[in-house]
Amino acid sequence: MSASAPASVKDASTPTPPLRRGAPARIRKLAAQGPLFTAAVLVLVLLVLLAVCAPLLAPYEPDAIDLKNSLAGTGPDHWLGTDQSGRDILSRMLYGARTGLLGPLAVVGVSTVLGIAMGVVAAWRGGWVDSLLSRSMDLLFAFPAMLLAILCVAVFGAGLTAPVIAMMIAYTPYVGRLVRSIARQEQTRPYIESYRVQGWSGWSICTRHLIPNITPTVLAQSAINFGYALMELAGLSYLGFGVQAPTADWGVMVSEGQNPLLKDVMLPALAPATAIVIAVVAFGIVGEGLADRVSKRER
Amino acid sequence: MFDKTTAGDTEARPATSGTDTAGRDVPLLDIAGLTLRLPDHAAARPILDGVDLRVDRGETVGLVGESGSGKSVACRTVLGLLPKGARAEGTVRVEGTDVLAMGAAGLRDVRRNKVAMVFQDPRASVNPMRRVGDFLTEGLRVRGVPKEQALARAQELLTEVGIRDPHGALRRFPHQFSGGMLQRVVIAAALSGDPALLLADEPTTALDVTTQAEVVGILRRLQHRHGTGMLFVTHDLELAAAICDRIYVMYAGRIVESQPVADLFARPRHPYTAALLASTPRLEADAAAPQPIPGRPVSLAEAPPGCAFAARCAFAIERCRSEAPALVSDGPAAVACLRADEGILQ
Amino acid sequence: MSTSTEPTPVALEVRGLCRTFGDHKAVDDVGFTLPPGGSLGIVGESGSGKTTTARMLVGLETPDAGSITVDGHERAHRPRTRAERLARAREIQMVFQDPYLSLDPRITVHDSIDEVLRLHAPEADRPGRAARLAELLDQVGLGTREAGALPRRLSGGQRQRVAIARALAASPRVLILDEAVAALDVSIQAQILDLLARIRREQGIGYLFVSHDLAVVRHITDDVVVLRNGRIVESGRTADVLSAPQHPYTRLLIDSVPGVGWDPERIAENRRALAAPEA
Ligand SMILES: Nc1ncnc2c1ncn2[C@@H]1O[C@H](COP(=O)(O)OP(=O)(O)OP(=O)(O)O)[C@@H](O)[C@H]1O
Ligand SMILES: Nc1ncnc2c1ncn2[C@@H]1O[C@H](COP(=O)(O)OP(=O)(O)OP(=O)(O)O)[C@@H](O)[C@H]1O
Ligand SMILES: [Mg+2]
Ligand SMILES: [Mg+2]
Repeated sequence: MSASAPASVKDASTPTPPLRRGAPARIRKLAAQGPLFTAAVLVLVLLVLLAVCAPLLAPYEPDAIDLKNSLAGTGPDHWLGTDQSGRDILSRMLYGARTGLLGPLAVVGVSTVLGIAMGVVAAWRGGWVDSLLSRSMDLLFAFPAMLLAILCVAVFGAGLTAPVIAMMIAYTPYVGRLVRSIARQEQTRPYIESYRVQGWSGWSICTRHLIPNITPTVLAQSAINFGYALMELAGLSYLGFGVQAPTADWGVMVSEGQNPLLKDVMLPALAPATAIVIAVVAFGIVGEGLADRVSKRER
Repeated sequence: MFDKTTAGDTEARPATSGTDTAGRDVPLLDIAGLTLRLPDHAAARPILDGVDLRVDRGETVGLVGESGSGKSVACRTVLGLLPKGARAEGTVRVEGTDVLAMGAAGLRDVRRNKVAMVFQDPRASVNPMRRVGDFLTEGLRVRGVPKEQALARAQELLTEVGIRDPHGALRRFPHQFSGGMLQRVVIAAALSGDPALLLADEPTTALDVTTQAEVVGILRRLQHRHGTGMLFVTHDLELAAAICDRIYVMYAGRIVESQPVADLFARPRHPYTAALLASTPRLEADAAAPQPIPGRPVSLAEAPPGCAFAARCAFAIERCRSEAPALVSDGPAAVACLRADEGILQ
Repeated sequence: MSTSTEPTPVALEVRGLCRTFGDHKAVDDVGFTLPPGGSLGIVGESGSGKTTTARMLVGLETPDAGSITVDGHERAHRPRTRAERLARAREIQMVFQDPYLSLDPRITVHDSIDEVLRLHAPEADRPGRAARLAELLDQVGLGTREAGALPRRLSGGQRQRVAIARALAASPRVLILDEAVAALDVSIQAQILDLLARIRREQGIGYLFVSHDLAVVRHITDDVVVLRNGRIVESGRTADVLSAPQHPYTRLLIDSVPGVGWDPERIAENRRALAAPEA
């Protein structure tokens, strides 16, 4: 610092690092992850936009029955045709995206928050607290999610709520275990230990330093979980345990599309099934990409 | 030793210098005019800038310099491992053939049979999930050695690097070894292919002094036994002095000085070398306190037009800041300093 | 410094410290004292228990036995209240070995020092803190540009300066430096050693300098203890111990430092000879 910088040709003396990166730089960083990742992110953004704007975009009411127009093919009136009851498939798809995303959002949101809380407490406190939390997570883990969901339906009745609650319970130990293992590693890092030496309370260290630093890894996993939750919820709806007909939902739509399939009309089942696959794959790619970024940063 | 008077340019040497046809006189490793550039937006100056370096058979050559000066990059280039997006100029000849011009098959042959590398952090260079036995034998197995023989050879190697109970060691996992023991395992693996050249990239930096002495002792013993040439990268001048025949000093991607070891310590010619010597803490009772070099090393984002060390140099004059000095050789020594002949360091 | 009639003042006193991991005695009956503003080196090979000792002193590890007192305050049990925790922190601070891992990657240099000031001097107002922060940064030779940067933008030497400034922010009586210069280049290492010597001169803060590099220890400490397998084998004035070592293990450590007449084979032999009788 004492020696002045040489009269250099490039910009004056030393490079001045920006304090924090702005949003445009972040977007460029994300794009650098590769075209597949970028495409997956775009797909997800589009999906969310479509779901949010469904009432504006949908040409028909999703439940508007028009029996005269049953199983109409694609055309200018119905871009994706109609189903057995003559409902516009495009409109139902758009509205279906809302329930399709809302369910997993609740599942992933709650399981991530609970999982982080349980995992961090287990890792930080150690001892009997850790044993207790770990054992209870193991117990939940051993319970098949589907079985749990069916149990919940038996208790709460069919609908979106029961499977979502079941999934929250099923996914929490999954996140909790992951968080516990990375938090245990993270808390032995000197930067966390130096906060302890400085005299901070465990609560401030965990909330202000430990959790923010492990969050990227957890979010990467949550993105992948989102895809799984979407698929499983759709599966439950398909089986009739989840969202009930006639509500527009991809799982319900696939189920209702089975009959037309027998008459060689593909779209009523194919369109929602494709949407499910695309969403699940996109979430998977984004999750993997995020995990990749985190591990690169770790180096 | 140096067949050129100035070596600052980045052009490749003529392909044949007349000696390689004989086969014998070809140096083991001959790096000439090696310049490595990252894409323009990533760096303002080349990572390596006109590096000339050679290692003969059985010789130990030191490569000394500060963090970020390009020592590891130079080593990895010998194995054909360039940083992503980097463009290379110059030649890197291993036993006469240019690594930079090789295809995938040639590189594989070089890495398997001719050149081995030992890294600084033994934990980072072994797969923690695999047993030491697998780690040691995988190199042999790809060369087609049958499993039984490979295991026997691995045991032999472990004995050679001084690991007690080599048979048991094969079944253990890396985390069951201390850093020093694991570095021995890594050295054993590096020597399993009987390489002609060993690149040792700060192999003892992560170890304590007594373990360092043991590991260096092992390296030297094996090197003598097998006639291996060694490029020993370190930032510890005292260590380099203790084991090397010749030393290259690197600063900001350039070789600034090279001399046989005794001369380098007795009469450093480059102010950077002298400053480095003065900043090394010494154990002797009457030694002066280490003298810090002011400032900090040049980052890749800076490209001072003159001598890269000028900003930190006590002897820098106006000319040093505008004119880049070329590496000028003088017998077995070479130095890149405009004021080298003025006797500034006496 | 002290007159012969009164006892020598003591900043840090450690007695009979023990710590066992499983059936391995990592630290075994370690004791030493550090006068105010003194500098004590703890040397020994890898695994000799240096870090474990340091961690017990700052409370990151609980001793099985022994006492640690700073200015007469015992600190063996865990702090119970917030006030106690903060008082502890003002007694001993620590700088860790790896500058790349000892700072929160998400927090700027400015904030990481400022939060310590906020924690330990909550009564200070904003301008007061800013002044203290500027003083600390100046002390370790960091400019405003570095202050605004995230750790990943800084070199190892700069990060270590930040870690030192942050430790000093709590105004501790004793600063433990666990291999604090080992990861740095010699030229930067010399800068940090210089800096540490100046801070000690100016502030009278005591150092506990943990290292296996005897050459560094010689320049930064007054006294030294030599640890081996968790036990102290030799202690005394640094200059005396290094010029006339009494224990063969100290001799071995000194011989191991590369330099003229360095003979790795002989060192390895001596090391084995030293290990043999106990096995
Ligand atoms: N793969 C890469 N891509 C871009 N830049 C790189 C890459 N590898 C190294 N560099 C840069 O090249 C320069 C030289 O790095 P190198 O690792 O060779 O230094 P070094 O002399 O080995 O330092 P150290 O003593 O810390 O190991 C550094 O500025 C580094 O940031
Ligand atoms: N948390 C732990 N659990 C089990 N064993 C431990 C633990 N921490 C340290 N040890 C052991 O205690 C001994 C002393 O370790 P310590 O880290 O104090 O050594 P050190 O002198 O600091 O060595 P180094 O120079 O390598 O840092 C070692 O044998 C180590 O394996
Ligand atoms: Mg390197
Ligand atoms: Mg240690």
